[in-house]
Amino acid sequence: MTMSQSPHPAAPDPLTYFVDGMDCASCVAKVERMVDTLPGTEGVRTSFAKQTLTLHLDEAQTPRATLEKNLKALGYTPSLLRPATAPTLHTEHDHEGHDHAGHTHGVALAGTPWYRTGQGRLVVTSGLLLLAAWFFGFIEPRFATAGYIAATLLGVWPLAKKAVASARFGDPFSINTLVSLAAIGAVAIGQAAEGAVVVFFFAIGELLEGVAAGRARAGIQALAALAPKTALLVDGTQTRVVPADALQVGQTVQVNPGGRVPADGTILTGTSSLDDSPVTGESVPVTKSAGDPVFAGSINTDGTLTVRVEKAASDNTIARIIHLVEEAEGSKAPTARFIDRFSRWYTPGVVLVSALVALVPPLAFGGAWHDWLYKGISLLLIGCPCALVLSVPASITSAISAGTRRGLLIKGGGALETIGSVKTVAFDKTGTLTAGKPKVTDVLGQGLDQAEVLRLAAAVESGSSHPLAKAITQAAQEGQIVVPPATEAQALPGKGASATVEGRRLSVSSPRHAATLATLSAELGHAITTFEEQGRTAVVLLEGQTPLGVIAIRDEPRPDARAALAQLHDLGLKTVMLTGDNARTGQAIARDLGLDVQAELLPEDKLRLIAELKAQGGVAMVGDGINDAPALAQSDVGIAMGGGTDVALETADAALLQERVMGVADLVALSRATMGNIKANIAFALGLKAIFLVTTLLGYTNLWMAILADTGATALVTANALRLLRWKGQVAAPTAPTTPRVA
Amino acid sequence: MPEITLYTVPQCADCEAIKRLLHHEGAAFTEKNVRGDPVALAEMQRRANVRIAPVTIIGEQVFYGPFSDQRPRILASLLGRA
Repeated sequence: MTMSQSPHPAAPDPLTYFVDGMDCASCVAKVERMVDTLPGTEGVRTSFAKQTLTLHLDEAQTPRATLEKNLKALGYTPSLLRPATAPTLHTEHDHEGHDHAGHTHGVALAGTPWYRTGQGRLVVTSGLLLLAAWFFGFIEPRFATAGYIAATLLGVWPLAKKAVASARFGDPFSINTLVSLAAIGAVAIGQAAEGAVVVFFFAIGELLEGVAAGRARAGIQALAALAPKTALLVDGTQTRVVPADALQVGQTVQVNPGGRVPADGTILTGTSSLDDSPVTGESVPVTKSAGDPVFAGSINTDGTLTVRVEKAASDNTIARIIHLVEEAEGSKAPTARFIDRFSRWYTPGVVLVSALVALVPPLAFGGAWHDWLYKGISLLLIGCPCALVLSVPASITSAISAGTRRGLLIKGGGALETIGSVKTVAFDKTGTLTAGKPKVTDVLGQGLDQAEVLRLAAAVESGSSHPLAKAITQAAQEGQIVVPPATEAQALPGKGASATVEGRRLSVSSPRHAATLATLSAELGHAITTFEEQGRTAVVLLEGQTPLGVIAIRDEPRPDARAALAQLHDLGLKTVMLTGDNARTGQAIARDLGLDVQAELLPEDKLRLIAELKAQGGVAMVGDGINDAPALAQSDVGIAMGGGTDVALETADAALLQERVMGVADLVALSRATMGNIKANIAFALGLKAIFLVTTLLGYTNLWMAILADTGATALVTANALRLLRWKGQVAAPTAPTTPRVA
Repeated sequence: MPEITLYTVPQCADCEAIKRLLHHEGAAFTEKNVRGDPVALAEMQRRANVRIAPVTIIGEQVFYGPFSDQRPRILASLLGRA
């Protein structure tokens, strides 16, 4: 129905409208979509430069008045300009020679074995030097000392460089400073062997962290590898194989059964089940046909499709997701920053205490210089919080990767931490808790039959893109009802719409607004109350001030909404639904699903409520990321639901790539698992430090034991962090057959 | 650092997305709301020859259209300057 590109050879001159109010990019898209649904339109172009709409209109199929009425219903005022002779192309965007094909990230690591990386070579070389020095120790101890010193200097060199670099950026007390000082101090007091071992183990620790991050990324990179390398380009009547990354926007490709979609695009012809799991994590195939979007990497299971390419390979959804995840892994969690702050006073503290231990007893009490220097350096070595510092990034990286593979996209450690600590989760209703596809369930006529009510209401609503209006026009279409044209259409935002149909002044409005216009009979009033108590939205069809009928519309809750909310309650969270819908309908749906409700809200009310909840211990807002962008931005964590649209990915702090409410509970659980993991690591690392600090000072343990303990701790916390990669969520439980289905 | 100006209208998802992007990239910018502000609208039209928000101007470079179109070019521009 939408693709009405019938060739009309002798088209009249195109019409050009200046469209007042069409001042944002999504407004333009809205207008284009509306025009696309009208029969008899062709060569539709919008100009960003002139704020105009140009099209060929076959007025036998769609009168000019209908087009203008529809534009007004969307909230735009068209004014006809002279017929344009040279329409401006909408695609005149200046590309400025910026090719964006160079999206290569420095993560070739995934396929590189660890011993080939720079860090790996350092570890191997300094390890070999250590071993050689140890063997020489049996033959000639002086060679051994030289070997240890060489190994120390080799290991310290990159650390010292980093220490100097961070000192330049105003952070003289980084972990690298501490390790460099400790190692050089060890050489200075003739304990080169200890120094060499410390830097060797520190290098191993860093290598481990690199390997951990690499493993986490490998999972994500594997997704990218799923996008095919070649594509079947449709060229006239033939197809030929071209590299997928050479595809250009606007080209057409063919995807055979069993093949993978080579690019993001829209289906032109064909119907097939597609497995979108690389992008959404959801492996149940979705049936798609002409006009539906497809993602690069999806598997085409049964039919042959032709697809119009809409994104270059470097900018398709899967590339964007990978890029966002990599950015997120690079951004530090507040906990990571906490450790930075911590090390800023901890490191100087350790240096100071070590200096005091090394200097005060020999100077003031005549202690043996060597003994106390040794103790001081030991403290320096014990004090270095390697395990502590390395564990947090490893946990965050693992968790973000685990989430992405389950369709939970988390944009950074900050969001990951906050999600688990909020007290309340606020949900938008339409499109979030519900599927966002309302359907007409009941039609009541007041002295006329149901089909007539639907016919007239559909005429009034024909130009509107409001979800309720769409439900009504769709119901008319399904009932094969011929909808008459309407004129003088007007939208009354939040109240309804009105138009003149067949000479009658009709309106479709909310019961509340209808009550201000007309007196509703007790029978109608009762019907409306009943519908609303069943969670349906009622609208009243009026002619002037006479009610003609009532239409009940219901937007079904998502199948897993109830179970997901129960899960959130089990996690100790309050849940609330924010809706602009009327209180009775909102309450009925909220009661079904088991959550609180705030109904009849205007957009600014939502913002106010979010601010209040924020003050009461934090709030996560779940919405579709497009219409409620301000509310998402205002909350502590904005979670966008419903797919990988660019706007949703950018505005929210986290996005659910699958359309499942359960994803919210999974996010909370993942966040808590991660924070638990980090806290356990911190407690373990700090506890071990405290023990060895005391025992070494008292003389029960020596430097070697302290070094081994720290290395062991580093390995243990890293391994603990990697466990998060295996995080599976908790989806299995709530889909048990006993879960009551919401009617 | 080149001067960045972002022309927006209220309740516009693409505009919000670009604001986020610029914040995220640490790029300072001046935001101008062109709805109901003929002076700002005229300025946007003069500089970009465009009447539809969002419009992003980085130094001499002008970007407009939906967020998904602008994003790669804004990033390329910021990267080129960094």
